[in-house]
Amino acid sequence: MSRNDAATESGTANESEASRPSRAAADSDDSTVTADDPLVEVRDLKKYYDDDGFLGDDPVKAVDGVSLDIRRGETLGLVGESGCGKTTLGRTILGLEDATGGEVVSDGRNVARLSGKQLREWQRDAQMVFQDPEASLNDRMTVGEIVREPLDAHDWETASERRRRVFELLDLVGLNEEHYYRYPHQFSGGQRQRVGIARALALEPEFIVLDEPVSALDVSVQARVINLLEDLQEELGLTYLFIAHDLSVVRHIADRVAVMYLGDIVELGDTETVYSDPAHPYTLSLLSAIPGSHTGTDRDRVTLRGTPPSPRDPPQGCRFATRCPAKVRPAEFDDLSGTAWERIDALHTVLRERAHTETGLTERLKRRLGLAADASDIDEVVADLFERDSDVAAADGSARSDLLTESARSAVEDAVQFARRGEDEEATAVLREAFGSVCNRERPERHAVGDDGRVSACVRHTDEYEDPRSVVDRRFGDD
Amino acid sequence: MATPTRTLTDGEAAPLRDRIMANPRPAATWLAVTAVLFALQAGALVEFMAALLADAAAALPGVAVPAAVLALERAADAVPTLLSRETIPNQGYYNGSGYVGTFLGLSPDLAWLLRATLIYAYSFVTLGWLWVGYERYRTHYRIADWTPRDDVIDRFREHKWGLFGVAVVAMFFVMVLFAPALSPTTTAANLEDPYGNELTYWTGDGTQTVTVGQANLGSQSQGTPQENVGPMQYDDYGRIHPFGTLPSGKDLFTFIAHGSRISLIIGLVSVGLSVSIAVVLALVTAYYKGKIDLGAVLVSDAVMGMPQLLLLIMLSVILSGTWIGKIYSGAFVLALIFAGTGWPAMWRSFRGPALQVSNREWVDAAKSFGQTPTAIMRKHMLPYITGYVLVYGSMTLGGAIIAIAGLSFLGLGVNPPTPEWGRAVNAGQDYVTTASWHISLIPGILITLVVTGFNALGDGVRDAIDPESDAEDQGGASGRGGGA
Repeated sequence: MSRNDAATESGTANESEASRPSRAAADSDDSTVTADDPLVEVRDLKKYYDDDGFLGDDPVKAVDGVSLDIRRGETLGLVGESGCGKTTLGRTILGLEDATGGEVVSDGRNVARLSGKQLREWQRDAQMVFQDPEASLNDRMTVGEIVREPLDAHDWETASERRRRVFELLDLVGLNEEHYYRYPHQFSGGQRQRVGIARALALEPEFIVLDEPVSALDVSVQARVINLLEDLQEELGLTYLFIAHDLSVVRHIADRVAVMYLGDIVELGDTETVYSDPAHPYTLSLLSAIPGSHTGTDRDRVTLRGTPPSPRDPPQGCRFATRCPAKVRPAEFDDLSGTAWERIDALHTVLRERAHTETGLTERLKRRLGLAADASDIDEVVADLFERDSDVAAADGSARSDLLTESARSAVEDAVQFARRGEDEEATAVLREAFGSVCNRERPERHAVGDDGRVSACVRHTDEYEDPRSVVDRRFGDD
Repeated sequence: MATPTRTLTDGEAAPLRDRIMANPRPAATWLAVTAVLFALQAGALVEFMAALLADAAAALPGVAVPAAVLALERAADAVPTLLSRETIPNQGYYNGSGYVGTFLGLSPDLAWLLRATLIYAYSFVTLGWLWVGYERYRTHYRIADWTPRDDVIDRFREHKWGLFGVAVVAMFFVMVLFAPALSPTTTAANLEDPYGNELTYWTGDGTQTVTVGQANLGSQSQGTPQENVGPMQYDDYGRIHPFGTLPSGKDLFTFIAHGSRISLIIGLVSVGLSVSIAVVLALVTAYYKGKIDLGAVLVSDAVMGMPQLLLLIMLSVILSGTWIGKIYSGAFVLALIFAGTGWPAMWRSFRGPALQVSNREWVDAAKSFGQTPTAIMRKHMLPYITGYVLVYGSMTLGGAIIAIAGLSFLGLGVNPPTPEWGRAVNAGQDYVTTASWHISLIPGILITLVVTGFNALGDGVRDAIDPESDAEDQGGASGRGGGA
């Protein structure tokens, strides 16, 4: 089925012109697709999960103030580590989750507040392909029933028309007519994902959220499904939001890419420029994690240390500050070595985690009474971090090492004093006060990078500071 | 999936009727045999329907049974039936040289045995033939060469304990369906109106006629060898009693066969009602979660907090005089109370699986294209809890049968003269150690057997649906003992 056929078909369908004017308008606009014609505008979108804990726990901030445009006809890649909120963002855009704040606008409709007929329209226009084709297909229904269900739900024309449409869709995604009466169990992963794609296409949507559509598949099958998705986009003029954690796949399919970290977009720009010249320190470290990637400089050592902080309690200031390879460091500690900073950051992370671990009632009571049970733990951590590779054996357990300068050591010791008493909050505050910088205080704004509309949220893009890239090169390139 | 891949043409995708027309032979032979089997028993079916209609009309308060219904019942009686007491009679008398009135002049015990054997043989042949029909459909007419249900059925066929359950439950159902034909005598003559009916018997030197009530007085089982009619024995009036007689002299088999009806009806009505409530509630609470779920938890806790037995006793006393208390000798009220107190436990059992299904991704997928909540519950959640419905339904049915028997044993529940198994156990409890042991023992064994059968069926279904669940891991799925 070619694009033209599809247009003719929806044109001749007697209900399409009358009841779906927005769609008809969209069709006529197709010839003049421009880069600045957003199909979906996401503005300051927030999704918090509150699990109604009796202790009034902080909500999980899965998506925290995301803004982006998805342009008509493009593929926007959305990448990030597991748990950064990619999937939640996709689901919230579709309206599968109720947004906590912000809005999603498409064709002048605020998707989050749609109801009735307009909601039905949005549900036709926007579809989703799920990550795991094992889980997203009801295995008590035949493939035909599965693909047909959206048509039934939206009272698509007549029964025989729906049947014909299902056969057409199966053909479109590379399945045969005979598959109509088979059950999902009888298919391979790739075939199942094709069924999922056919279901998403059933209602002739404009916009499809692809939630890691190939990550559950074999590599050989991945390529074929990706090619199918590209062909379909070309044929049907679809707009994709392609969520993935596989960076190479995104580079292959996406026109633009948004990099997400802990509920927010840190960098957004054309795929090629982002991949060849990453602006944000997180993108930089993420890309250097691709084996055999050559992005210009020798950045083998820019590895991402540790795991992202809990989205229940994101760091103040820049979210990435706890792991950032290009973090702004206070001038008075200029003489500390890279290793020393690494260790200090590690200690900071440990203290933060201690401060926010779920503690039992007895533990809390002990802390109240000043009986810190885990005082020895912190000494061990400090010993591991600052003493093991120094020649000085510290008999009194204090951080005495060549690694740290005098002033740095006293700050670390202050923090450790608090930690010994179980006051991890205070310990964290002391460390942050001593070694923190603008990165720990301000949430960075988005800055335009380059001249192709790329944005990156890092303070180092202002004139005040050195460019993140050169900092990383300096810190890790020649070490 | 063993069958090789077939290419589906448009012809095969046609409606069932067209598919049958394309290959009519297996369907035609199956239908022909089915028609013969049905014709043999058409009369019984019509009779049963007419009786049901008359019962329903009689159950309505303050309404006389319309003449048309009575006429229908009479007309239904006239339809010939192979397996009926009229075709193979066992009631007759010895006239000095041979039996008069029995089938082919056989002795009454042989005539009765022949009829009972034929009834059971017929029933099992019919059931087997239905299975053949399913297999024929599966091999010849179904478009899908494999469905997920096939695996369940195949696993169940391998499950010996489950098959035992099926056999017992089937025998119980046959007893319920064929109670009048199976019994050596009728409820009207033997149990309800013994003095309005007469019988002829051989005194030794001639035949004589007495009322059934008179004869019953002479066939009592009172514990002494002189006054006892045991299983498969004749009484002084030439009547055969397959299970012996009650202390009142009435026939125990007739009593039990008709009592099975009331047990099953109460069981089916109560389980049907509570399952419906529980399923709907489970789907709704699992889909919407949150406050609706919490509300249902509170209500079900409150209902579960009520003492079921006390409630039963109170309500059956309070309602005994009202019209609703009179429907089916009080059985209907019992069923309602069982349903009203039984749904919370059942809902709790369905809630877990329903919650699990509601979190599956295909439910999200259905939400994403705007499927309505009711359709999601029906198409995407219900199929995954029907297995649990069968398991818990079957086990609860066994529990209900025990509970009803227990209540009648205590003298509550179903009122005389409507026969009920628990009352037979109660009637015989003084004679357990005597020659009349059969009065309590036989119904007791039957209750145990039937309840075990329902539980075995439930076990089999559960293992077939969920092969990973261990047969020994009874967990929460074990049958409930019932209210008494």
